[in-house]
Amino acid sequence: MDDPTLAAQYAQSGDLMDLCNNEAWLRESAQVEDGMQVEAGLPVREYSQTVAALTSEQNQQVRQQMKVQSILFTALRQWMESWDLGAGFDDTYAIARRLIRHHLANPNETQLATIDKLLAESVEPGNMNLSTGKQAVSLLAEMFTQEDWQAMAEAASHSISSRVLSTGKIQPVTTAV
Amino acid sequence: MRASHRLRQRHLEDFETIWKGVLRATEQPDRYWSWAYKLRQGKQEARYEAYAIEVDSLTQGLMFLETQWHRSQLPQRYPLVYVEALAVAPWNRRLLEDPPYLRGVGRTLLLFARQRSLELGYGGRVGLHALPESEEFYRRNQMPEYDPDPDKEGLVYFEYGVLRR
Repeated sequence: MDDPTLAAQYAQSGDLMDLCNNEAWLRESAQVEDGMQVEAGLPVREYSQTVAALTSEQNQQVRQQMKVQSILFTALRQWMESWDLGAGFDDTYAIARRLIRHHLANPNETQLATIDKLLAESVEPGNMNLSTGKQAVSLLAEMFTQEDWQAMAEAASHSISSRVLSTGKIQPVTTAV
Repeated sequence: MRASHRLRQRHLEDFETIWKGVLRATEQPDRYWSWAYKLRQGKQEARYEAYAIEVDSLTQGLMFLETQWHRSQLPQRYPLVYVEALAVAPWNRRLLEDPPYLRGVGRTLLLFARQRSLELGYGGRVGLHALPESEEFYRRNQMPEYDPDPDKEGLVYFEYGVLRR
């Protein structure tokens, strides 16, 4: 991370993070970080030690969970964009993620089979193709219960109503004379 | 990859569930630092800021900054951004035969800390205490190294100075 490169970027755009759009910078970051641990600060020491002590099998388990959740959450986000939730999106998305994690703890046979299929396709979540996205959404639709839909609807409604109410508190009421 | 997310509830949940899944796998007691506590602290005290990198719908890295109280180790005692904690997800570390899922998450967070320092008028000054196994990463990033700090259980202190052309 050499100062002249950073200073030039800052002078050009006022935002060092624009370097993340630069292929050479990204390549260099990958090289610099390769094989390195990066954790800083006493508070994360135990976390770092635990991760370093993972066996190959445990590591595979964590990576598999990561991949499943990443595929499903990416499909969920894309699906939810068609629900037109506006300001209620984030809270509803957060609840939906929680519900998915809950169901993933005890998947039924059909869900397991679909998950295996999604994993076997070696999908890159960021570049999910249409067919994989559809399979993932079908799985989510099968997973969500009536109570889940109710919980999501309440989260959306609560999120929007609290925004309106907080605006009402902050904005002074002005009336035309 | 951009560290533009202020820490949100979903990032904490990623940490509490899937990142800490390694705890369940290794059956270790939960003695982790509470990011949730730090998030609350960040909301209550303006000097704290928490950030996450989110890629492919999951949290890939977390960073917690203190922006007002810490000072440079230089005699002039310049104000700086202090990295209280920086960590990447378990799958972004090279372990045994597995390559990381994403490379460069730690460096992106470090870059973001410098950007915050510039925004706050600290000229790019950033300080942190590296864990022993991470010291080489900060050396590779040309971060000047100071002495081990007895107040931080002997962790080595690193500090970027003002950004120069």
